[in-house]
Amino acid sequence: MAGRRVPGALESMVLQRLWAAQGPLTSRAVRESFSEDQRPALTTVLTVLDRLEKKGLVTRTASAAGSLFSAARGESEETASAMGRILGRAQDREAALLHFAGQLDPADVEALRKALTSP
Amino acid sequence: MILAVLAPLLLAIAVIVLAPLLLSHGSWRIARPRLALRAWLAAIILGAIALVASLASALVEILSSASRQTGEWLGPVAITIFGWVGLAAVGGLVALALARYEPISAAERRTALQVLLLSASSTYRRESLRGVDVSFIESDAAAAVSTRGCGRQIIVSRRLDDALKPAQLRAVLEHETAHLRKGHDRIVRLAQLNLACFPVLLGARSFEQNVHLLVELAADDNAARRCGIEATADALQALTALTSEESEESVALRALRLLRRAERVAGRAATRRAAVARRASA
Repeated sequence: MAGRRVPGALESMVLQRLWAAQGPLTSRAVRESFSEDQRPALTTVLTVLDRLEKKGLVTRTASAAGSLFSAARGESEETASAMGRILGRAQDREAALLHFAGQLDPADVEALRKALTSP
Repeated sequence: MILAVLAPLLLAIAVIVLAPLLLSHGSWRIARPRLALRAWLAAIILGAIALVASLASALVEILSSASRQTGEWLGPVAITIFGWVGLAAVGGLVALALARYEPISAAERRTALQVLLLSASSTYRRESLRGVDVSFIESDAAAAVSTRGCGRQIIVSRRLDDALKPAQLRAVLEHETAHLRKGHDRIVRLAQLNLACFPVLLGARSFEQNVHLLVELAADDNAARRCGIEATADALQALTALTSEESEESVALRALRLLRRAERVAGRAATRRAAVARRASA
């Protein structure tokens, strides 16, 4: 059984496995693709697949073997756009992200400089 | 009864007027960013409670005066007008807040989705730091970001991972973890929503202008407490060579702030050591 992971991490790992698969996978196959020490419970996998489906990232098709899941969009087309949007937002205060480099505008920098140079 | 309406109303007005004057000036907020953030939050909560208390008192007075017959008319009429106008203003405010929150919430959902896609497509290593998932991703950008979109997550780029020493990287992770654990993203959102609802208030504008600087400095201080002032200042200095030109100066100033603090701490320690030595030799 895997240690407790934050939901985003597990969603990301499941999506990775669907991208890496040659074709659609059952929830059991998704679970089996995890190494034994990281393997989540089947119900957890189903919950994660359900969440990904609601986000439009996974499609579900019915088959004789049960539900089959596949990634809705290709990996490469998503990577480049997400990379630019997330990592290039150091000055974007609207994004729900906090960057280590900060999102300080000239007024913030001036306030900082003034405080550090005043006696 | 008029006092029960007026006193909290005057308190709310005093908070609205004084908070930006006291909290957005002076070098104390740069030295104590956590205290400054708490003071802003306390001012907002106190102002809101005082306004609600004033309005509630007015409504109680309206309801109780209906069953009372007194010769006085000016006070009750003023309270009645204030009560009903206040109630309408609260309703309008709630509607405005909901309308203004919608685009903020949509932006958060979009960002969460992009972080998830980025983490799924480009992660080469994963770590967990006190309940926060850290994804190291393949990227030439020197960046570390935190988000709460799908659980508390930090994304660190390969370039930053390669460029920083382990102690410096730890400081970066502690900085980002502080943002998530101390709810800095929520404080920033509150400031944005407050400004969206009260664009004419100086306090709302000042809080939104100050909050970005304060959360960064508070996260720096948190990293310094956990990893040491020098390691955190080192990480910031290393970042100045990697970051964009527009962020370079602010990062260098944040490093300088910590180095000044390290000097003060070292100075105080030397003074204490000298005093101990003097007492021992006496």
